[in-house]
Amino acid sequence: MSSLGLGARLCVARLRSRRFAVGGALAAFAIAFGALLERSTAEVGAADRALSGAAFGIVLPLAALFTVDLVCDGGRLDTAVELLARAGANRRAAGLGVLGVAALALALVGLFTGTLTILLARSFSDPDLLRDLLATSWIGALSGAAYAAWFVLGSAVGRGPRGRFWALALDWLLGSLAGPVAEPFPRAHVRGLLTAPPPPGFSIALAALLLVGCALAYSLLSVGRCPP
Amino acid sequence: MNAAAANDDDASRLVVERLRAGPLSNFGMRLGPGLHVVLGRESEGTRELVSVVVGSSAPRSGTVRIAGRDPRRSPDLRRRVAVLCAEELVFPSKTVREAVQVGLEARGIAASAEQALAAARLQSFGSRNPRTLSGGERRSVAAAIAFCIEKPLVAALHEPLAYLPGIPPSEVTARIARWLEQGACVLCTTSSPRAAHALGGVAWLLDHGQLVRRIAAADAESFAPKSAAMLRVRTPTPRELVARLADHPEVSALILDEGREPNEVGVKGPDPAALALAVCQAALDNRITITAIHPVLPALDVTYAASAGELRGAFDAAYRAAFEPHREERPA
Repeated sequence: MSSLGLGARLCVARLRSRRFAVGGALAAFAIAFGALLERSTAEVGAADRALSGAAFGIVLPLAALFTVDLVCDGGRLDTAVELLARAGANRRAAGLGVLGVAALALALVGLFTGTLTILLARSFSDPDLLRDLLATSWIGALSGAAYAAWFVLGSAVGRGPRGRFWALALDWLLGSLAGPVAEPFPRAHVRGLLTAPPPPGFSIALAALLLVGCALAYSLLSVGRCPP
Repeated sequence: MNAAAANDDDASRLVVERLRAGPLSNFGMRLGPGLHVVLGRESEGTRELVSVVVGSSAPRSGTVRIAGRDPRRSPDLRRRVAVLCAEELVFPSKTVREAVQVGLEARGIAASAEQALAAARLQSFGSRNPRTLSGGERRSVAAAIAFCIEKPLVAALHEPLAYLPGIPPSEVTARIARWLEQGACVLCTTSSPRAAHALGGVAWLLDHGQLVRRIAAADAESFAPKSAAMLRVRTPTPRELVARLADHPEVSALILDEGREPNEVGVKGPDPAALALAVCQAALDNRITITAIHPVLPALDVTYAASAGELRGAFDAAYRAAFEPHREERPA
């Protein structure tokens, strides 16, 4: 089996744990709570507020941090694949395998997050429900995958798990700002895709492409920091 | 002082130069095929040495080369290194059998998990959940995988005769012997003189981050030369043996603890050969049956003390040679 396959298999094995299931249940509860709270406050704009607030503003980043911490076994990316490296696997390829599965898992989490929020924040008679569901689904999936790559990059710097917490802090603090200083952080692009009207000459497609580009850059940087 | 291989003409299979890792400081060694034992406390860096040699951790500085390549940066090389670290990891699968299978596949070993576990006498581990394994049991599983490697370039084993629940030491020594026949360079680290003696080969004492003394591990006396030797003698009539040896000039002390070891006598003296002769002569002369007689190896602290004594003695001799001839030449 290739190092990439071994890394993917390791990630799947770590995700198949009670902790992940419990975390998922808590996340679903938080998403539902946020969506219903927004809807009860004011039905107009509830979906937008719930998506940019609880769902993609808080729950998705925290879910991504938790998931990456789980697949990295509480440590750095290179130590997470050390048991494969001792057997002769290439750390970079194995790390890419871990990242790929984590990104897929968090894409599904993001898709679920967006879908659940829309279903609970909008009424079923709302004519925009289906359009919103479709749009939010791919935004959620892309955001989840981007956050996976972001926190895996955080796992490749610093000692132990500290890098991931720095990644969270930087994303929340600097990614919320306006202007170029926010560009390196996924939060800025997710916000741009969700609610903020795009600036003139700047389309949703371009914003999505930028987020994909960021995710790829995070991935390359994170595996590049692992020795082979 | 850095120690060199026993034979400088051997190909240097494992070369460590100016290594700084954990307590290891400016550490170096050059090992060819054969068995090499590093004896020292864990606080001296034995676990860090194995970890760095197999490429599991990066040193602060210095280089490690196996057959000219850096194991930290060469996955192909790591596949040919048998490893048993102080702390081992097991693949988080549903059963140990699956975890072993993944470990074997990762190394490209054709053997099945059942075969690997059976060879290491660990069949009972197969159906267990890896999360329930203790630290020692994880090492045993890692050892079972390591033992499946044929013709490794290097085998680096930390405490191969200890903390391996379920694996008898005879299995470990048999596997090491097989690797040696295949021309491997086997590096073992241990904090037990008894384990070093059981492994045999060439042992090096690790002190303050460096190798300071070579020990012929098969010879019990070489661990602490010029120290009192001790033999343990098993006999059904220990009191009679003690009575016969009490006045012997070669015997400095006799130990008999009937509460703990009723049929065992400890015999101490300066010369181990003369001591053994005295015991056998007393047994023959008085028709005393002896069922076993074996040397007692000194504790690690005694080994360190003997080494420090030797170094001090060498320093004193060098000092005298350098300065005292000049004192004698001064006019009255």
